[in-house]
Amino acid sequence: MNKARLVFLAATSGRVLIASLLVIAATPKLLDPASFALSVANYRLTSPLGNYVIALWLPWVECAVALALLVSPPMARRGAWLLGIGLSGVFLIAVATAWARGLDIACGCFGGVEKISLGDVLLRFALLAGTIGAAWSDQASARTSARA
Amino acid sequence: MHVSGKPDSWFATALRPAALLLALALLPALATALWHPKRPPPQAAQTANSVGHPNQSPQLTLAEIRQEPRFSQALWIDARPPEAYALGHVPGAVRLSEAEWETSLPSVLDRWQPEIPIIVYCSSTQCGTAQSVADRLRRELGYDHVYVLHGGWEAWLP
Repeated sequence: MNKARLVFLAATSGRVLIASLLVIAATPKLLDPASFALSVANYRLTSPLGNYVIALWLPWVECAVALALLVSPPMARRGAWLLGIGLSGVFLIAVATAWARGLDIACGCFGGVEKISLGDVLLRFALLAGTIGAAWSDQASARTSARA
Repeated sequence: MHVSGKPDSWFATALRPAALLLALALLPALATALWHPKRPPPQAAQTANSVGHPNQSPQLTLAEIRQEPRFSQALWIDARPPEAYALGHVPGAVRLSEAEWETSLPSVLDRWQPEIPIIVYCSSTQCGTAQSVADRLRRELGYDHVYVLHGGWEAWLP
């Protein structure tokens, strides 16, 4: 197996993994937007209108990004990666600041009800790093394919 | 990220499809706001403790609770972690959290009678677990007299 093939397989695996995680994260939010609105409000980071809009819009953005990662061509995937990295960064900031403030709240990230811990912060950091890595490998793979 | 080799070109070319994805997600979000059976009301999510959820349990201050005779027999629910409960709790309070819902709910039901109010508390005004536990009790028991102690355990302490 040559290097280009390995890069392609790694990039595709990373892309599918990130898309799957986004769908898994979005599902409980889509099933119960009212509860997700509560979770968003618990962070005390945005206005009431902001909480409402986030609760309705964010899960569908996650789904749209996941779908684009799976089916769109490399150039169009750039937008999905940009949003994916942005979402991961926002989630990391939200969870880290909630943990730092000692808020006794659930993450709301994947539908769990456990109180936010340092482990959640580290997990979000790992997800951000993983998303950036997957984006880089996917785009590098696409560039290699275009040259071939 | 400069994957293409030209500074800023990757970012610049990502902006348009990103905006398109955001716009596409708006349509189902709008449908959710209009037709989802569990959609949040527009006034929802005002704060962690005053969300306009249809099943939201109201908050009461300790003074309000002490003024009302009907609360003298209230069932107190402690929604804090077990270690906090072990250090001190409202006399007679039963522990219940969403994480241990199935195992802890029977002990709550053993103590509860339909005519007595339920008051849930967590650590302080910063916590949201009491609200979520109270709201879930209200939904699952179909019982309206479930309340949250404003300020939680900190308010209880002298």
